[in-house]
Amino acid sequence: MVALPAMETGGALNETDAKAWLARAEEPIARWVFALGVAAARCADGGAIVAVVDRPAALDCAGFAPEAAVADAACALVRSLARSEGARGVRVNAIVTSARLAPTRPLDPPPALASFPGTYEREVAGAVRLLLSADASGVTGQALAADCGRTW
Amino acid sequence: MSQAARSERTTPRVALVTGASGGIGRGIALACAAASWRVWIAARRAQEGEAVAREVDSAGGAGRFVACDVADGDSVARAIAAVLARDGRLDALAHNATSALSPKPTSLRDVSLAEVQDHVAVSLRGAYSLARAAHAPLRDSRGAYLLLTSEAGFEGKARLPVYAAVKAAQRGFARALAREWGAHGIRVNCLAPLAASPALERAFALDPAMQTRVLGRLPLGALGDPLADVGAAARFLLSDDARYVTGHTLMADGGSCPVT
Repeated sequence: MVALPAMETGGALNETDAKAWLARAEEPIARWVFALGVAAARCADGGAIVAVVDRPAALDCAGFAPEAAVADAACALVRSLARSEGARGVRVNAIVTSARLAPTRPLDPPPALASFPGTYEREVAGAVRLLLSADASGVTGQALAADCGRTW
Repeated sequence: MSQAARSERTTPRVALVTGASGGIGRGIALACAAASWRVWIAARRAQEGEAVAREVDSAGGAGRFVACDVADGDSVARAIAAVLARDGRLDALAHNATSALSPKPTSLRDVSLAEVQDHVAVSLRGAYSLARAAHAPLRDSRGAYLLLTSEAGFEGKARLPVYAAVKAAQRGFARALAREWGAHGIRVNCLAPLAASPALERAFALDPAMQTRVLGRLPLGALGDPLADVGAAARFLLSDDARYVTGHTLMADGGSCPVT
């Protein structure tokens, strides 16, 4: 499993200076590139990689342009890796969550489940376990939203 | 509606296109010229950029060249200031420039930090710097911001993973910015083109099997034309004809990408 630590997030782009942009967008993208590259190098043939990606739900993404950019970049890296590593039987998927990026007051309509945005310990961990297991042996290159029905 | 927006119907639309000294950027510039727009060619290569500006003149528009390195925020700010100093407004902004490394095959295991930084600086920092510099004039004109993404951003690429990542990042960025800027009257969209361009020719040269893969899955059978097929689609998204379209990615790829 590959995940990045929590970072400073949120704020209108017009109020995001160059230093904050680097911290919110450019540096996390570079981290994802190298974290997934290392994961690919270390994962055994036939294994599975799951990236846990913080992504603001589309309905709630105003003020999160850098974070949305990072999330989409990470999901594309997962798909690229699913293609390059598939030949040796390695599956690569992503779990996307807005647990660390959910707004205090989500726009209507409300999320499908009252448990939104979910937690890492329950909703995210369960979805990761599923994708790492043999039950997901035919699943690769996917970005599965474990966000209590906020995204589909 | 602002004074600038009211006068739009009587004054030519003013557009700036990055990476417009050739290829798809040139196609966008000439498509806008065909609608009599004033088109700023923003590029690092002055000789080639000035030549495209003259082509814009010949195609019915008014061409201007401005030197611009999109990886440098100060350079971007100077380019937008030059537009406002001469034309007094900005209605349409298209970010087309990509890293020169875009067609270079690599593996995610082997890519260097310098390569990652170059991709990010051109595609993504450029998108950010342009947004910051152009927000006020686009708000005044109720204008449009367009980012040139790629099918790679949808489906990933085994041999171009960083290029695919920054192209996907542009989509996430645009989706969020469209929600953020909607209240300001600014539309933000993406266009995913596939066209015969110098960049694609370089990619084919570096990865000969790529040409077979790309052409083998094209429902429309041939690569697009940068002007007629991609430029026209870009002009649509930058024009008032798309005034109710925002947060969207339009595929102008001949049906190539299996993911939409």
